[in-house]
Amino acid sequence: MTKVDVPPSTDAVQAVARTGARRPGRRAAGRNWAPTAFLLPIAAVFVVLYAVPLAETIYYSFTDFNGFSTDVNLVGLANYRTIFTDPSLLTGLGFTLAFALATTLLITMLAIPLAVVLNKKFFGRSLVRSIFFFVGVPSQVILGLVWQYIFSPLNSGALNSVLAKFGMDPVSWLADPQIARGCVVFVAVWAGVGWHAMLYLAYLQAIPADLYEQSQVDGASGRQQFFHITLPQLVPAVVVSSFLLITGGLRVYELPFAMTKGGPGYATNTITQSIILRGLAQSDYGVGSALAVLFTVACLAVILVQLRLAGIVSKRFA
Amino acid sequence: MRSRREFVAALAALTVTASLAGCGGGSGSSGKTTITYFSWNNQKVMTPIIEAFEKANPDIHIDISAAQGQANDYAQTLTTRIAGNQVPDVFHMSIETRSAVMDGGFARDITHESFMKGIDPTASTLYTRDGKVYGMAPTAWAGGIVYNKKLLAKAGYSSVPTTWDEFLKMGRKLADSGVTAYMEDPSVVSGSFGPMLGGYYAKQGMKTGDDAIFEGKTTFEKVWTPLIEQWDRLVSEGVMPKNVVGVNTDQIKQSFMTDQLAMFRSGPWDFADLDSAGIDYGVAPFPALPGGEPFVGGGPDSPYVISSKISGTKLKAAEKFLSFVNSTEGLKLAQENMNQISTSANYDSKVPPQLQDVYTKYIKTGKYYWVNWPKGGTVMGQEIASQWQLLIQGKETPRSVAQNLDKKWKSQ
Repeated sequence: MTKVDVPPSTDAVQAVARTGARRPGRRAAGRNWAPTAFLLPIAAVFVVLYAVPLAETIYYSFTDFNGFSTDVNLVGLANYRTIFTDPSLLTGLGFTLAFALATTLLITMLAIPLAVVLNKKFFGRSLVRSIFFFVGVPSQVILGLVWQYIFSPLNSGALNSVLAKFGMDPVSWLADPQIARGCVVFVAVWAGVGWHAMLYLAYLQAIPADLYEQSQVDGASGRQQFFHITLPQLVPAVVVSSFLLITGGLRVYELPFAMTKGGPGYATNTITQSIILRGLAQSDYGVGSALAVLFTVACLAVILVQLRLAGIVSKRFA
Repeated sequence: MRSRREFVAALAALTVTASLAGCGGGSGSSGKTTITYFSWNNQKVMTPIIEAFEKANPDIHIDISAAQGQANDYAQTLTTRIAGNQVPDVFHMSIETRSAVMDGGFARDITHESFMKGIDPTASTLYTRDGKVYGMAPTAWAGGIVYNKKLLAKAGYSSVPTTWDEFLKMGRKLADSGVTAYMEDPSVVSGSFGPMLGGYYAKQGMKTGDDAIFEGKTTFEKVWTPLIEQWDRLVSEGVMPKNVVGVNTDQIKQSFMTDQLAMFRSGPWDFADLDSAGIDYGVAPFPALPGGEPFVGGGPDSPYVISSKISGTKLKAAEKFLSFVNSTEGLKLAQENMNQISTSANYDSKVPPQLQDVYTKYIKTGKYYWVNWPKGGTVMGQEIASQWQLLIQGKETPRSVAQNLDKKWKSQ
C-alpha cells in the first residue's frame, strides 16, 4: 500500500541499489503515519487503564499506603514478606492454582465428548444444546448462591434431603474444608462444560466430512476416528478453550465467595478475594498491591507455560 | 467532504458539552442544596426518614446510597470511596473504620454542635479522639438468644437458663429430641462469645475488658483460652452442630421459622420476619460462663459522621440532617422502620414487647458487651471468624485459636 501511495524517488532507488539495503531513517521519512495514528487511541487506553495502574500497583507494593492517609512511606519488601508468612494468603494461592488446573482439566475432558455427542443427529438436539449452553449464562454469584442452598450441610439442605430419602447420612458439604473445595470446583465445572462444549462444537462442524468418509472406507472404527481425526482437528479449539479456562480460573472470585465466603477457615479463599479483602476491606493497600504484583507474575508464568505447551501440541498435530 | 467532517465534529462537541452540562446541573439548577449520604441501612428502610427530612427541608435534597451486605461490605465500600477521594458528605463510622476515619481527618469535629443535645455520652466514647467527638450515635443495637417457646416447652423449659451448664444441659435435651438446639452465623464474629466474655469481665471486675490485651499487658492466650474452651462445649456436646460452618444467616433463620431449630443468635432486625412466620418466640440474654454473669451483645449503632471536606451550604444542610435524625420525629421513624432503639434523651423508644425484658434488665443497666478493636478492625474481624470456623470444625484448639489471634494482633 505504501509503495502505491508514495513511490520511492529515483535517487532513493539508486541509493538502495548501491547499498543493497534500505536505511531505516530514510524509510521512516517516507512512511504513511495513518495506521500508527489509528493505533493511538488503543495505545492510550492501554497506557491509562493498564500500564499506569500496573506501575502504581508496583509502587504501592513497596509502601504502607492504607487508602486513608496521604502520608505514604516506603517499607521495602515488608509487604512481600507478609505474604509469604501469612497462612491465609498462602492457602488462597494454593486453592487458586488448584482450582484453575482442576477446572481446566475437567472441563476440557468433559466438554470434548459432550460436543461430539451434541454434534450427532438426534431428536431434540437443539433444545439439549441450548440447555447445556444456558447453564453457563447466569452470573457466577447467582449460581453460587443457588448452589449454596443445594449444598447446605443441614439435614434440611436440598441434597441432604435427597440422600435422606435413600437412607443415607447427611454430608457436611460446605462445612468440611476438603468437601467444600470439591463443591466449588464441581459447580465451576458444571457451569463451564456447556459453554466450552459449544466452542468445540463450532470447531467440530468445520472438520471436513470427507475425512470421516475416507476413514470409513479404510475401515476405521469410531474410536479410531475420534483419536486420529476428531481430536487432532480440535487442537486449535483446545488451545483457545484451555487459555480461557486457565485465565478465568486464576482470577476466580465470585463463585467461591458466593458459596463459602472463602471458608471454612481459609479453605476456599482465592487470591483475587485476598487482594480485594486486604487492599480494600482491610485498608492494607501495600499488601494488596504486593499480592497483585506477585499474582500478575504468576499468571504470566502459568500462561506462558500453557501457550508453550499448546504450541508444542499444535506442531505435533499440524 | 470537509464540511461534513466539520459538521460531525461540531455535533460531537455539542453532545459532549451537553453531557457535561447535564452532569453539573441536576438538583443544583433547581435551587436545592444536594448532599450525598452513604447509608448504613439499606435504602428501602432509610427512605421514609429521608422523605420526611426533605419534606421538612424542601431546599435540601439527599442523594442516598447504601452498601449491600454486612458491616464488612460497608467498610469496604467506604474505604474505596475515600481512597478515590469521593468522601460522602454524610456517612457512618464503624468499629472497623473508626480509627482510619478519625486519624485520617475525614470526620468533622461535632463535639459542641447543637444537634448533639440529648446524645448519651457513653455512646460517643468509642468515637472520640483527644476529647473531640466525631460521630453521632442516637440509637443502640442489642442481640441475644431468640428461642422458640413451643420447642423449649416440649423439652420442659419455659425460658433459656442463665448458667452455662444448665444451658448446655437443655441444649443436649433438645438435640436428643431431634431438633437442632442452637446456631449462630459463623461467617462473622461469634455473636455469643463477645457477650459472654463481657459477662465474665463484669463479674470478675475487669472493667476495661479487652483493653489490657490491646495494650499488650496480657495476651488472648492467657485471658481468652479458658473461656474459648467453655464456649467450645457448645460444639463438643452437640448443642450446636459442626456443619453450622457451611450455613448462612438466612438458612439459620429459615430453620428456626420451620421449627427445626430451637434457638439462634439474633435481634430486633429479624423480628419482622419472625412475626410474619407466626412463630411464638422470646428473647433471652446469653448465659453466664463459669465466673461470669448473663449479658447481651450490644453497643451504640454506627454513628453518623459529617465529612470534614464540606463547608458552606452543604455543611449547613448536613447539620440539619443530623439534627433531624436526632429529633423526636427522626428517632420515631428509625424505630418504626429499622427497629432501632433510641438512647437519645430526645425520644423514649417503645421497645418491641419481645425485647422489653432484655432491654430493661440488660441494655438499660449497661450489661452488654462487644469486642471493639481499637485498630485493624476488619483484619481482626475476619481472622476471628475464620479461627472460630476452624475451631468448630475441630481443626484448631481453643489455645491455638487464641495464639493465632495474638499473632494477628501483633502484626497490626
